[in-house]
Amino acid sequence: MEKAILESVGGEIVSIVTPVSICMLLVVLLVHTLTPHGSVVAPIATVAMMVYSEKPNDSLFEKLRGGFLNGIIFVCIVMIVTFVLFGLFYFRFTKCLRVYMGFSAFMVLAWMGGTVMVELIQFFSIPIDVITFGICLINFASVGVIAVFFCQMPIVLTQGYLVVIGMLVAFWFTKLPEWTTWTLLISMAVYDIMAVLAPVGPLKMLLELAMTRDEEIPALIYEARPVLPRQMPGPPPTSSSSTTVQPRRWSHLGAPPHSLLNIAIGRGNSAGLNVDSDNFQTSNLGTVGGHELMNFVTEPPIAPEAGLLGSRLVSSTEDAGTLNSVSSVLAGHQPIDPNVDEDTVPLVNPGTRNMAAVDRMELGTQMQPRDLDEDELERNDEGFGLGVSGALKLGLGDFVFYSVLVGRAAMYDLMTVYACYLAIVGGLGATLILLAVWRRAMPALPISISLGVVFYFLTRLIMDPFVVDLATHLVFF
Amino acid sequence: MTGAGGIGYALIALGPAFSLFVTVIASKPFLILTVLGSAMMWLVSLIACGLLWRAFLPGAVWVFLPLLITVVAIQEAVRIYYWHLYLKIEDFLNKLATKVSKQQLVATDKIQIAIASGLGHGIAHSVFFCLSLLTPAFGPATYYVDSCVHMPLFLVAAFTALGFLLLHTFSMVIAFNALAGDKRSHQLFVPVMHLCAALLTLVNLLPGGCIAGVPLTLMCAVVTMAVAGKIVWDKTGSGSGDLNSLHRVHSASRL
Repeated sequence: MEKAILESVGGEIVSIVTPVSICMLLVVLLVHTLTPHGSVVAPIATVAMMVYSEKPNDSLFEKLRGGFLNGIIFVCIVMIVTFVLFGLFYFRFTKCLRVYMGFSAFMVLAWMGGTVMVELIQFFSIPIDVITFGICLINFASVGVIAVFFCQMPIVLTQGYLVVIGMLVAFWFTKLPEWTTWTLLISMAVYDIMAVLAPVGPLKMLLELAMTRDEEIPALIYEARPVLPRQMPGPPPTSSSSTTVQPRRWSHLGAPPHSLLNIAIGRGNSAGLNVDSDNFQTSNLGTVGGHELMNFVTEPPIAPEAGLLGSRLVSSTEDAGTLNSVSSVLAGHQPIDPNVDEDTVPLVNPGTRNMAAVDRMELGTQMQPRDLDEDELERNDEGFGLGVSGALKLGLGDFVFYSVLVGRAAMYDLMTVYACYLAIVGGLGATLILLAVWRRAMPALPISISLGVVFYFLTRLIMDPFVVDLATHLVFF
Repeated sequence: MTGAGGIGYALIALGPAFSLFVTVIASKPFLILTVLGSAMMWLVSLIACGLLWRAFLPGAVWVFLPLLITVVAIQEAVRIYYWHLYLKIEDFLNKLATKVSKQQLVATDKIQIAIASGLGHGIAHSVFFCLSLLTPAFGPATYYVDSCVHMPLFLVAAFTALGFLLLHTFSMVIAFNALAGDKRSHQLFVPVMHLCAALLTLVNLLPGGCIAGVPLTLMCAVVTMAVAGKIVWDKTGSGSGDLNSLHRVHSASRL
């Protein structure tokens, strides 16, 4: 008996929505526990508050104006840093990028993680001494850096550490004052559109440079498990980034004439590391970028009938979900420390198979070791795409900003949390659909963030009093 | 009152939804997405209702009657719109199934999608009308409303949310079936039942009314469940009652 269609459709989307939900849940739990209602959190001095430091007594206009200025400054710094990273990538300072990447991840895990742990220990009065705590923290942070950037580890570990990094950065961001947070979110969403769609957008330029050079883009990416096992063997293990043994990193797969964008199939190749032939593992690429989290969804080379959902449906030889052919790459970014800015990576739609969104320049690249089917190469003529893997990849910056929004909503009430969660997940789904339809580079943040902000204010101002009034009168519908 | 109480209330409101989710929905990613999508649609309709009536609340008690009528009308209109969306998606899925050489949607699939959509509505209702009020319930005290000294607010809210969750879930099954087969009686049954259940909660406004209000709501839910069960039983032929075995007979009973 044939399997029903309902078994497999949508698997990839769920495999990305799940970690985003987990990250948001963790941030909400942290915020709910560590920020008692009504307390005034002393704002920390960061680069995001260079211009205006919000005080509770300021008038509304003051707060709005100050927050707006903060947001603009932040976006400008992010843009400058993105260009710097692009420059580093352009001049091939890969070692520099790599070291910076590892260092910043270590800082996030050790310093921010340590701060959060200390607060939790104080809150729950856990008896633990400094030496044990120090050893545990250093180990935790080191394993995290290695798992994310340097070694092949069980993928659950890598995924877990990436979610933890996103959670820590998001929690740190929720400490910003309220108006600044909202204007920051909106500014980053707008910047995302600009960086991805405008011709001079840094992310667009970065992506094209990586394509032409056939190199991996440095990024910090969350990679979801492939839905079903692939039958493709992995690439042969190499011990260096030699190009003679490995096939080209970026293959240009053409799109069918009536269609879709092309995908570039990238092969993961880890400089200095042996690439595991297991398709499910990522290899860390030698080129480590700045704050870019690139997120792209790649799929394993599939049968020639593979097409795009919507215009050319796929008959995949594997039993993979049909949405395999519609993979989106969402990019996020990861702020490393207060002085580091985040860039947003555009959502790039690769084409018939994958859609890649490059959000920001991030340190570290994750590419999938992938075997490329040579016939598929010939079938395609143009276009670009990103690495092929069996899994969906999402940039960490998206995790961070979604969780910041939900965390800030948690500071008001749980009802706003639920509303914002639904809005963000809806926005994520809409972005994926748009990606499938438009097939070009698209920013990942704007739809979700704008929906989330709108729903937050609608819920807070309108729905909350409405529902509470009905409920206290015991009238339901 | 304390963690145990809070968790208890949450389980009353959402326990059946959780079991339904785990048994029917969790194994199929498309259904999970359906739950999220329909929950979001319900939320949008709730915000629309709030926008409409925000100016009148908090207000006189008689406001609740027109409020409930208009709100139920809006939600039923959203249900019809959702049905039209579902038709498009069903079409799309069938085309997809043909392209990847899989089976088209069969009756059990459609019922599962209907359950998932209804569950989305129901979970959204429970979460917004009960779960979001439960934060104080985790503290050391409890809260009684003036008109109901028999049960804490949280308990009434939990039971009513349970009733409405079941009502929403299974009235979606009935509605899908009725709109597909164009059965007038069932098409009318859904909005009428919804309106009845909503109006019956007005009983809670009377002093001591919650004694009657809560069981009445639960009874509405049971009636809806019975009607939905009968529909599914009839539709899936003479196979046994549980959904899994229906998969084995669905090839014979493709509707």
